[in-house]
Amino acid sequence: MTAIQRWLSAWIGALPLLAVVSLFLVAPIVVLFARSFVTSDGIGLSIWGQLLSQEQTRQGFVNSVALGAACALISTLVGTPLAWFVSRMADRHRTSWLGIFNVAAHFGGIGLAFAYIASLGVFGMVTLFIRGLGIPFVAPSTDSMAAFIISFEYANIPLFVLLMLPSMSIVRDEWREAAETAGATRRQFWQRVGVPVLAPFILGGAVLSFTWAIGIYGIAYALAGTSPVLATPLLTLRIGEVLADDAVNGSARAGALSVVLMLIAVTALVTYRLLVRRGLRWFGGRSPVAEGMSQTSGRERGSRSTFGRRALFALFGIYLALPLVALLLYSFSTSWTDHVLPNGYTLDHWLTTFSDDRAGNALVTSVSLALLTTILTLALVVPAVYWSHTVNRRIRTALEMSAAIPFCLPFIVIALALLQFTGIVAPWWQGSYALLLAGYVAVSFPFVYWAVDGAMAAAGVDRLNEAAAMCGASRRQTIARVVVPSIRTGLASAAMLCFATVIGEYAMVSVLASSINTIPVWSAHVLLDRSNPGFAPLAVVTLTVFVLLLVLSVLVARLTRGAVQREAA
Amino acid sequence: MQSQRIGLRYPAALLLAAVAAACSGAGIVGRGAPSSEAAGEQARTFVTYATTNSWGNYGEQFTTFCQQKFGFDCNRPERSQAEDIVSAQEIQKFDAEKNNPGAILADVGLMFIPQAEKVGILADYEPPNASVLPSHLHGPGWVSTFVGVPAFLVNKSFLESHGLPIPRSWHDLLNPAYAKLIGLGKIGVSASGTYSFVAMNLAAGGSLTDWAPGVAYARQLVPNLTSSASIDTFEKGEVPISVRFDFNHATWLETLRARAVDAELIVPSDGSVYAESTLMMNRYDTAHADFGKMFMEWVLTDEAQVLFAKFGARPIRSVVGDNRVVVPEEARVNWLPDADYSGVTEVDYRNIDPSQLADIWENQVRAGS
Repeated sequence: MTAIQRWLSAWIGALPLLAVVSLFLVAPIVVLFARSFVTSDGIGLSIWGQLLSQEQTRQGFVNSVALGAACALISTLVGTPLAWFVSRMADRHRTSWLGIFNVAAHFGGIGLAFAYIASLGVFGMVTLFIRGLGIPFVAPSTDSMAAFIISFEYANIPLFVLLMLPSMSIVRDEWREAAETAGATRRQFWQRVGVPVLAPFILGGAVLSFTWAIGIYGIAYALAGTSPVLATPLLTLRIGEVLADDAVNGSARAGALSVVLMLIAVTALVTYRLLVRRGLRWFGGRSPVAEGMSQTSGRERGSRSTFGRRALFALFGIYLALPLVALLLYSFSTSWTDHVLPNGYTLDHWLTTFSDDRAGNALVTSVSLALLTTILTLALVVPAVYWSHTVNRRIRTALEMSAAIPFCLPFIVIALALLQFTGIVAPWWQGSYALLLAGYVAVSFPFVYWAVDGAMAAAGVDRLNEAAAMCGASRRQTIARVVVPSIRTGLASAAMLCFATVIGEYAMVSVLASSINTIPVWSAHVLLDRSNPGFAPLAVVTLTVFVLLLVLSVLVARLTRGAVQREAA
Repeated sequence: MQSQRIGLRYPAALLLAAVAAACSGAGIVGRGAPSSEAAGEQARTFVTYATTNSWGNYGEQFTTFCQQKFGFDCNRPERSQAEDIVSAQEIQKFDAEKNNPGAILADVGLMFIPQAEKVGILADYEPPNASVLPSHLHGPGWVSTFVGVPAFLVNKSFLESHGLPIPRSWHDLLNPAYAKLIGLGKIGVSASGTYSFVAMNLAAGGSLTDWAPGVAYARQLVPNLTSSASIDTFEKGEVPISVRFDFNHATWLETLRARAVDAELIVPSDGSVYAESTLMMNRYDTAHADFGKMFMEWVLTDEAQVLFAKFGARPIRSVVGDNRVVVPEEARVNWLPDADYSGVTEVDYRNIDPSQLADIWENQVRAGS
């Protein structure tokens, strides 16, 4: 065997994925950075000079950081107890709440912005209800910091909970029992044991919440995009504006702004890594998560503070439900002016919306795009992860490093990087379906990677592989007949995450291929079209997507529970 | 080993060949006169950006043009693409797609023409009848088509019931009682927002080179501003004063009348400006050059100009004093009397960069107030 052949056989399973990732993620980011020094007049620092001297850049920076910090704080304060209680729930309840969190975590973008306006806008349902009680309530204007925080948290808190859940099982129930036996109060237990052990993970979660919040574009754009006196300028919004008012240097200027956003995100990510490493030092640097999970599952832990827990879940449930109620009413309304409830009800919108060319077409485009992305991503990730488990551990390092990029960089930055990169190497690709698809594969691969990696580790793929090899199975046979069936549930949740990421995504499509009519593109068109007579069709489409995600999430949860039960049996 | 190397070299060579072929391009749209026969064929496949059927009445424009010239309706649904993109994005798109052009024509604001020239995406062709326009309203690869005038639409029912006066001038808008009641588009992005800022500056005593009066005025206006109105927010009284182009508002009046909202369209008495829409032709879409050239000529004909008028906009030739355009009565139902337009001026936008205006607005007006 020559050196090349040896190298090839060690890497071949991961090569397609690594090629896609370096071409559509790593190289574009490098180009983006380099391009911020190039204007139409030559190479220099003029873009940076202009950018850094402007008052609006400073305001954008301050607001973005403040918004990120506020979201992180709220997510931590609300999300930590939620995650703790969910981790101690009986299986049945946990599955439902996980399903709800999963859907809410991905219910972002334009639809959510509209739901916010329908509930808490000047003439929103909740606003009118509170005023109807005689309270002189003034709704925060849709471009205010408060509006951004309230709407961003809708997805941010559930994401935080999902991220925190595995760490929660680190605190063993035995420890609490031991502490109780030793006469410690609940408060003392949390002060001396629980919080110190969990602190690094909680802080890490807070840092990621911060990163997500500063990177959000779609919701903010839909809530505030057209105001000439934007109350809360953000870096992400500024990127969109610069692209829209300057055809000559716009993309270089937007690139420089993206680099600022990228630097904030990278700082946050490094902090996150340090925190998690610190947290794991109790466990000799190895993740104790897998054993912890199975240990607590299926046990209902009695909790004395039932009232507090119920109140927390009830309030959070109402927060999640209200915008949906407003959407539902909107979708059945004939018109809705200034009363708490619509002026009249009709089924028309549900019957006619999808026969409208653009709405029906958007649904088809979005669903097919999301499906195609999911299939492609799985096809690329599964062999790569299999190779990393059975053949070559170094693949893992490469994958982990690239998976961090889309996880911590705002999608609008990645989109812009792709736009500039293709502008240099393949301009004829711009605006195409294929480019958008490649971009979506690149940004959704980390979610799939983590789910598949976890599933393969849990299934003991390296041992399965040895056994299959001894029986004389080829690599392809092993993957198709042994590996894939044993990680079915992992694949299902990976597919769900990937599908959900793509179907509501606005920043990438608006920058890369705005002429492709996906649901978010159509929704933004309807929401921002000043001559639009009514928004009921938007409510119909948003709810349809929500229900689609809910059904998928329930199916995945079913599959997972079935698998767990089979294992137990 | 040997065979492997060749295996790697072949795809690389093929890729290089493909890149070379794509980069050589198929030339540019030149000055030569169009062939009607070729145009008829091209009419079956051409695409345009940011020109919906309703905007500028372009649907009827294409239908009428093709019926007359080629005897069939060329306004296919897929003719109109990238409907929501703004002027700067159209220019970027033409440039990005130069090796694989996606469209021959696009509607673009006159203020963006200098950017289009700088990026170099305009065709060399200029229709012969463009000479009826003054020189700052046409050039190689573009002609002005119709104009909008920043004007106010006021919800009289709302204002009167709240004891508020009807604003009749830019100056009137400064009344502190209008806090957050005036809808305006984003300067630099929204055409009507950008031209409104030009009009404010001129009304405040500024000029195209002196923006200080406009900045001082706009800083006072900021507390009264909010996002541009939609029919919905206008009707509810959330945004009872809407500052947009006269023709945008004209299309609303019918809807509002049906909903029994008393609305009035007002051209500010202290002056406003004509804001030209233009049609630009892609330098690189040689496959549809003949069609594009013929249509560029068409938009300045009497017939096309009347079709623009039916959409509610004043056709460019009627504005520059070319009285050969007779706009029929039925096309003028939503027009204000010509006398209201006496204070509206024609401005040479060639030295104004919308991105600079956006910077002035953001850094001196919004961030500074």
